[in-house]
Amino acid sequence: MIAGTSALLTQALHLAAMLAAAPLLVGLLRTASARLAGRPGPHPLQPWRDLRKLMRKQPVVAEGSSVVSLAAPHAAVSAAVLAAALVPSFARGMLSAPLAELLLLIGLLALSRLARALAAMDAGGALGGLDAARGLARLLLAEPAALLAAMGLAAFAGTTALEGIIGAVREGAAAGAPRLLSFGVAALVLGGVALAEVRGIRGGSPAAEGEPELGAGGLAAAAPRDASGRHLALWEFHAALRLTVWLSLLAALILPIGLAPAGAGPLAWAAGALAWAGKLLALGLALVLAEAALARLPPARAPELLGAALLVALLGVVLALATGARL
Amino acid sequence: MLTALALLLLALPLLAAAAPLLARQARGEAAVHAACCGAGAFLALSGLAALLVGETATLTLPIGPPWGPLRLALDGLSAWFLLPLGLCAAAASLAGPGIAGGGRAALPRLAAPPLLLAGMALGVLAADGFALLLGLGIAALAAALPLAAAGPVNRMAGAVAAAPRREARALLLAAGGGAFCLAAALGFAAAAGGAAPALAADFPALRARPPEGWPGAAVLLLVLIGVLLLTGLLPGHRRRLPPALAVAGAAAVRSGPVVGVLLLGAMPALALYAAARLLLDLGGPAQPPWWGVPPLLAGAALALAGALRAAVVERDADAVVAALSLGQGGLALAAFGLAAGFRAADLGPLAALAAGAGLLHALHLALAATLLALVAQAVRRGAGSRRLDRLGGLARTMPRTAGFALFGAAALAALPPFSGFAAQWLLFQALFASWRVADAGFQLAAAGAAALGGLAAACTAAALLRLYGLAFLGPPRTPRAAGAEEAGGVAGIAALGLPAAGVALLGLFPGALLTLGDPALRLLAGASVTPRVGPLAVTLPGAGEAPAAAHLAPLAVAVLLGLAALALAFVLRRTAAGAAGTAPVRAPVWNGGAMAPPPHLPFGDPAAQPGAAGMAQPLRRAFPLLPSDPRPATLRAAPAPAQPGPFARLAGRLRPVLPALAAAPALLRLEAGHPPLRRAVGRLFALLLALLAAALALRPNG
Repeated sequence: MIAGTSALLTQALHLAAMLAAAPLLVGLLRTASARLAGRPGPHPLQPWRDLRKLMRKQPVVAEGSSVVSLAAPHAAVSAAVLAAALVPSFARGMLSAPLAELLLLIGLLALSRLARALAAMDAGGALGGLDAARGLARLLLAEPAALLAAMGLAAFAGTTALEGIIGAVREGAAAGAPRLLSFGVAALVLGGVALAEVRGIRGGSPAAEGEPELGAGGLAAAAPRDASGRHLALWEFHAALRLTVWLSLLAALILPIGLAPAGAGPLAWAAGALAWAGKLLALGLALVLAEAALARLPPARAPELLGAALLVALLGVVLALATGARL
Repeated sequence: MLTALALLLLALPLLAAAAPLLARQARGEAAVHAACCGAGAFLALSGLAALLVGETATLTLPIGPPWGPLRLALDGLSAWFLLPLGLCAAAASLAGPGIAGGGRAALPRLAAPPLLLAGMALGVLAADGFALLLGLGIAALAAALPLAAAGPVNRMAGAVAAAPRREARALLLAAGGGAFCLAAALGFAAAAGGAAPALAADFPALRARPPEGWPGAAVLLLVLIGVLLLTGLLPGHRRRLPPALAVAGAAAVRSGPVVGVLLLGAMPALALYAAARLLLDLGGPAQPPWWGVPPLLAGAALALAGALRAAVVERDADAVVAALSLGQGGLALAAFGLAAGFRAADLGPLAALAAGAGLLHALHLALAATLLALVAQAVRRGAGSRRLDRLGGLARTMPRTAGFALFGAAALAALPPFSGFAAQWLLFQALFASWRVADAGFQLAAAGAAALGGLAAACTAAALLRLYGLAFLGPPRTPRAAGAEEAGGVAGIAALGLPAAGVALLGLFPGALLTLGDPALRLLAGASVTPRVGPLAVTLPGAGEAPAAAHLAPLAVAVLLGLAALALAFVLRRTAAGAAGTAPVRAPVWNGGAMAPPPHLPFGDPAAQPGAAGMAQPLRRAFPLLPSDPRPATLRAAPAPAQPGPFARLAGRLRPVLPALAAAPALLRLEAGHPPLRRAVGRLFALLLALLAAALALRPNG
């Protein structure tokens, strides 16, 4: 009974932390990205202010659009919220732990991405179709890479459940086993997929606005072109949640340091929350740096990058199989 | 129960024989549809009853030559595959009157559906190789002959079935070749097992003495090729769909909607049944682990080929559905191959898991493909075309069909609480567990299959988005699409609702269905999934205790998704309470500042709208090896038709190559200066291969 209450409390705290941290993380990364480009950049709380402003605004939808463009943002945000509830942030042993596993996470994120593409197509302009098609090409390379990374992790830990993988990483790190190499490759691939996510976050920066309509920033934007008002707020929130989910997943799987064990008290939770914030910031800054290095990569060549991620993932799986990495 | 099924098998050809009488009646086609619907429902119900009771029976019919009478059998496997067949037939026949319209029907439209259904049911219920061949052959003939016999096609309704005869000929040729391969395989197996008469390749006799060694390998390859050819699923030509699926489109026009839907929904399931029966059930448990590798790799490759074709090449709604159905069938075949590998390595629970993935995939494929095929036919009837470029905006004119289409698309795209996710979850978990087999080759094959399967899953999602977005979303592209109407009344709703309900049940309760299919799993894997499967959740075998083991609990996921949506709606209502207006406002679409279309194009400029070819363009760029599109996306002046001689052609081929050869040193220098990303990827791949070889060489044996 006590364990159940503790799990429920952890779950509620975790979900609230994830929902609150997502726009804040995006704001921090935007500021950091602007500073790297030599501009002062917006205030880190700007995404939260935007959200509060947009939530009160009436949405405008295209004349020919159907009920799909009304329902799609809600479906996307619901799927992203569920994904955020599953990934551990500061503590293990949450109520949703039996459900939390990699294939379900990949499926939920695919669901929200497809809802985004459907909404882009619903308005009916040429640009919406182009947007959806390019997003699909990215999905096409990111999803198999993520699946292969999951296979590598499964060969490493014997399961795709997040709790099981975290436990295996802790044991493996303690043993200092060479099989951590294959694990590192899988983590690298997940990082590459997260990088593909972050390319959409920078949308509001002047560098992206200066580009023509079909440029990188315009097309990888968080929201479909026609979204406005409440719907725009939902799309922005959805993109921020996705980024936070990927980064938290990476943080929990690669560096499970500081994660409070199941049934721990508030002190361990506070330590875990601090560690989580630090890991998120470090990973986010690494992604921003990587993105700044790749900023000149034209969007048409992004598939090559993701193709490389796919090959690296295959390499990781082969390594995991060949080193006999198993429990 | 088998007696009743046998009587049904006899009654269906009689119904087909009565077609000349029915053709004179005004309501003849309706009678045929009603009979087929009853037959389908009976098949599905008897399959369900046999699974619940666990009945097995054999029956010898006084038909055929005296040395080999026709023999039928009902066991777990055939009972399971009666489900997709019966449900698909029932749904297709329910929709038939609404789609086909009234009036008198031609002879082939009346004779083909019962004959096709009888052939498929005979194939599933066969107790020896002869009956299996007979059933598959009857099905192929019933699908092909009406097309081969008839005159020019009615070109109305966007039916661009330009060469149904050619397709029918391809199907018949493939079926003949497949029958030959299967007969050879059965003969091999019987001879290897020491059974006396090769013709009466009795299933129990084969099961008692499965082929081993090189006859086993020959049987494996022959069965794979034969089954895929005989059911018309092996791609015949690189620019065309496999014959059975290509025939489906033409058949929907010529020999009635029931035949078209049966070919799309039930034919891949029938091929899967034949493969599972011959490779897993009759192949015997004593095969080496590599026995599973050819079906695994062939299935994964078929899945990618089908999904890629659906996402890039096809431009007709029903052709997209056909290619998707092919791809899903490939995934199920891969699951059966995986089950064979696990069983050879004595991993019973994992084998049962993989075989369960295959069974669920087969049922899911049949239901979802039936749903989408019926949607495609309703669209063809309601909006007058099946070309994706001529549709658009149907979500507002045909809302009911659009809703069912979204449901079916979500199921096929393997999104979480739907049926495709449950099936693919089991398949990928089985693939991920392949390291438990000690054979290095099998592990590598599984890794390759996982890569191909992941690509196939993403391509499937892309194809469904293209299909749904172009047909149902956006503005209408033609006047006919703007004036589309829902076709079919209550029967139409029931016809779409039946497979949709099946998809929902399969998605939410995969554990209950696996328990139901336990007799089939015992036949296929020699083990049961019961200890690991509850009605609400499936737990993976061999992964330790509760928190560390992966669970599949789609009902919980669905409930949580619903809770999240409810909470979101509550929050939105609270925040919007103080604001002026909450209902969305409609405004003209912002087209990036582009000029408004001229008045003579009231439905917009086709060049400035997303189209089937344009949506595929980024995917084409990501897969440079795809064949180039023979039909350009935009209108272009046709090049002058020149017919160069063979030498001129050879010189033309060589012309781009020679300067490249001459310039090779310069290219190399360029590479040294500034290595492009593509070359880096190539190097990475070489590194991967080298590491692989090193790992295999260094790997300790055992």
